[in-house]
This record gives sequence, C-alpha cells and structure tokens, in this order.
Amino acid sequence: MSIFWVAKNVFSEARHNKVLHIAGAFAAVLILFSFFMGEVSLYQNVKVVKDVGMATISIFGVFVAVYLGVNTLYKELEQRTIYTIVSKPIDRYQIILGKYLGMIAVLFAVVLLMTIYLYAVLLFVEKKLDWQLLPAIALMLAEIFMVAAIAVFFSSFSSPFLSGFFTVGFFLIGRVTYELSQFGQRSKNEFFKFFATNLQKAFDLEAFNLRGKVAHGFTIYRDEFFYPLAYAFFFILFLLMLAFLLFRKRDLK
Amino acid sequence: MSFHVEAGEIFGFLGPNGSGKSTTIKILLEIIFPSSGSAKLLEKPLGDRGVKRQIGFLPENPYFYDYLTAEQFLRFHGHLQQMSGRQLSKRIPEVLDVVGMRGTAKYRLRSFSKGMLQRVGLAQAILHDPKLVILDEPMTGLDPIGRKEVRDIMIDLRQQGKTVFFSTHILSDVESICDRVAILNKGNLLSCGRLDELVSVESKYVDLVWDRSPQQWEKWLQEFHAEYISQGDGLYCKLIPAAEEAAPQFEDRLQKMIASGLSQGGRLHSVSRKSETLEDLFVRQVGHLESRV
Repeated sequence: MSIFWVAKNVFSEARHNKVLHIAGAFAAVLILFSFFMGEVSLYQNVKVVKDVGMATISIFGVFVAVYLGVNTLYKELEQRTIYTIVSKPIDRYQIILGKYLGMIAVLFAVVLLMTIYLYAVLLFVEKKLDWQLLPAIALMLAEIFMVAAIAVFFSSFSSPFLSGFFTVGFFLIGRVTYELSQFGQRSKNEFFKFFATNLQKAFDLEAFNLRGKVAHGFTIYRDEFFYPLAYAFFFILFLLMLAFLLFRKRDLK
Repeated sequence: MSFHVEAGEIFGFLGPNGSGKSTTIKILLEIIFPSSGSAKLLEKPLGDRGVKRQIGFLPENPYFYDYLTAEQFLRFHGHLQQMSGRQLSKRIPEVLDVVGMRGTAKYRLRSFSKGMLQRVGLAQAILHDPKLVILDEPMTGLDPIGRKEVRDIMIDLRQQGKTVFFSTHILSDVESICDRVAILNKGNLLSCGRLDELVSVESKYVDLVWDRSPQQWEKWLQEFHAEYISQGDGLYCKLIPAAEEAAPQFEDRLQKMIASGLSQGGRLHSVSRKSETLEDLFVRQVGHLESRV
C-alpha cells in the first residue's frame, strides 16, 4: 500500500503545480487554434484539427513527463522531504515505483482531459465523434509513459538539468531513428548501415506515431498497435528495474 | 565511534556543527550508507522493516509538502507507517493536541511558521506511537515556549517508556532533560555517559564577596593566591584550585583564607562555589573553534 500513498502524493503535488496549469492552458489554446488553422486550409480543416490536436497532446504530454520525471524525485531530495519517507517501513524500490505510478496517473489524467477537449472541438467541426483517433492517442500515451520512465531512470542518479537533457535527447533520438534507418539502408558505409538499422530496431518512437494515419482515415492493423504497446511495457519495466538498482544504495544527502 | 542507548531514556547527542551528529542519524535510518562499521536499532540490524515501524523521526530543518493540510500531511505519513484510516482519524487530533497545534488540522502547511512546521514534524514522528523517537535538532526554530513544550513532550515520552534520542547543540536543553549524553567532534566520540559522571562535581572556583575588606587586602590576597575582581561596589575575589591541588587541600586553603580575612577585620557577604557545567565540559572536550575546523 505504501506505493499507492507515494503515488497519490505525486498526483496531489501535480494538481497544485502552477507550471503544469500554465502549460495545460497553452496546450488548450493551441488545440483551439488548430480549428482556425483548419479554416484557412483547403478542404482539410478536419484533418488539420485532428493532426494538430493530437500533436499538441503528444508534445504537452512529453513536456509533463519530462518535467515531472526530472523534478519529482529531485525535489524530495533537495527539500529533504525524502528523509521522513525513507525512515518509514518502505523499500527504496517502492518509492521509485510509487513516484512513477503517480506520474502515470497524472499523465493519464492530462491526456484524458486533452482528448475530451479535442473531441469537443472535433464535434463542433465535424459534427460527429471519430473513435479511430483513440488507438493513436493510446499509443501516444504509451510513448509518454516511456519518456516518463526515461526521466525517472536518469533522475535516480543524476541532477534535474542532466536528467532533462538526457531524457529529451533520448526522446529526439527515438523520433529520428526511423529516418536514420532509411538513410542507413541507402548508405554505402557498412558500419553506418549496421548502426542505423539496428538502432531503429532497438529504439523507434516513430512506431508509436499513428497520428497521420488516423487523421487521414487509414486502417490501423493489430500489429501496428499491439507490438509497440508490448515494446513499451518491457522498455518501462527494464528502465524502472535499472532505476531501482541505482537508487537502492544511493546516499540521499 | 561506539555507543549504546538504553531503553526508556532520553539520550542527548551533542557536538558542534559538522561534528557528525546528523550523519550518524542518517546512517541509522539508512538515508545514507556507511563506508564501514555496523549499527543496530532495537537490537536488530539497520534496515529491518519491523524496526522502522517502531521508530519516529524528525529531521533537522524539516521541509514538508506545503500544498497539504496538517491533517493530509499526517495521514500521508501515517499511511506509510501502515496505520489505517480509522486509526488516523482518532490519532491525528490527539497528536496535534500534544504538540500544541489543536485546531490547525485543516490549514495548509504553507501558512505555517517555522516553529509550527517543527511541531507538525514532531507530531508526524510520534503519530504511530513509536518505541524509539529520533529527533535531529528538534529545538531549531522554536521560541523559548516552544522549546519548553518540546522538552515536556520528550519527558512525557520517557514517562510512557519510550526512548528518545536527540541531537542538539543547545546545552541547556540537554542539562535539563537528558539521562545520558554523548559528545562528539569531527566524527569521533569524545565521551558518553550520565551527566553527573561526566561533569566534575568538584568546585571549579569559589567566589567570595566582602562587605568590608580585611586589613592589608592585597597582601592577604597574595598570601592565599586569590584573584581580585574589580566589579561594582562589593569587594570580590576568586579562589581557583591550583593545577595539582586536590579537593581537600583546596577546601583547607579556602577555610584558612576566610578565617584569616575575618580575623583581620573583614566582613564577609557571601561565598559561592562554582562547579563545572555541561558547557564547561563541552568546551573543554571540543576545544576552541580553531581546533574544530
């Protein structure tokens, strides 16, 4: 149960965080703005609203994941609130897991609210609800959970600045490995070819991007949805276990 | 360093800033890990979860989640101590009352003064009725009344059979409530034991105040190796034991000096003996600032 209480505290803290409130308001304005962007595009207004709306949810979600991931643990250490927690009958892995699950709850709530908001805008534009967006949004959420795990992993042994830097770096690498692989396949340099194609196999966040497909009404196949979900699950599990190991014997000065 | 704390006592952990008091406490609670050595809490190795259920801890200069109310904060910590919601509903008003914070349950911690936060922190430490309460500088930030209240709480805990282990450098608090103390400096234990064992009961010096001085005052002072102190209207002199002088010899010298003074026409106003205080012991053991840096 300790994990639940730590998680609940993370959620409670996020609810009172002004930075997240401001970022959320900005994202809401951006989704609304997509409606006007759609108006000026030729016969594409619904697609523009869907595409920009989902991209906004993704960017905002990643921002919240990085922000919470690098700050949640660090603030406990910096303000020494963790001293009273560690003195309780709680294992260190429970602190990490509680923190992560609290972040998951926050991220889920954030994406849920933004999705409801996007559907409200779409209902106004399209006069119907397009449930095809949901698989794409679910994969976006899985990607955001992965980013949160990366941030928690780095923050288990590093400063917020470095954790944020590395997390964003990992995220950007994950987003370009698909293109890198395309270059690699056409490259004459065997080493680069090997490196680029295998990097994409190991870590490809573009696999979580179905936004373009659903915005244009293309069919989503089962493998396109379930394979990335399974990958995300094991990826998160692996990173959290590494975080447990690193945090287990860390001096909390 | 090596020391042990008896069950049911108030144990003062003394030392100047940077002497290792907080570090020792952090090691005991596994906030940090020792490079070598070992320790036990309640006869069990460090990290035992069963033991942690019986420990309450208040860190130095505590900062708590300021977005929570006092009740939410205590609930959070109570749940981490595996207390049920029903237990907490009963216990939270009780502990807030004990620390003098009755009626503040619904206020957010961000509206509290430093002293109030310290009290709520103390409430958190005793919430689950622990056997051992570890307090790191619990008097920090408290006004004299607050300090007295914390001292009273510690005495109450001892009366309930709890063990209180607290670090401080406020010596008057230690003198008034501690059963035993340990003094440390630069990570080394300098002494450990009961206060009356550590502090010398022998006179450190004797102050004599005369209403009318004996004849040949200066010669008389020289004869008994007494020191004249120019202070106010009275005639003060101080008699200090010599380095090799035993207590009975010093007492003999004092008696002879008084008799001689009276026989020379002096009128004695008062004699006051000054024994060693904890502060004297502390300064003697820890030394001057230069030697601590």
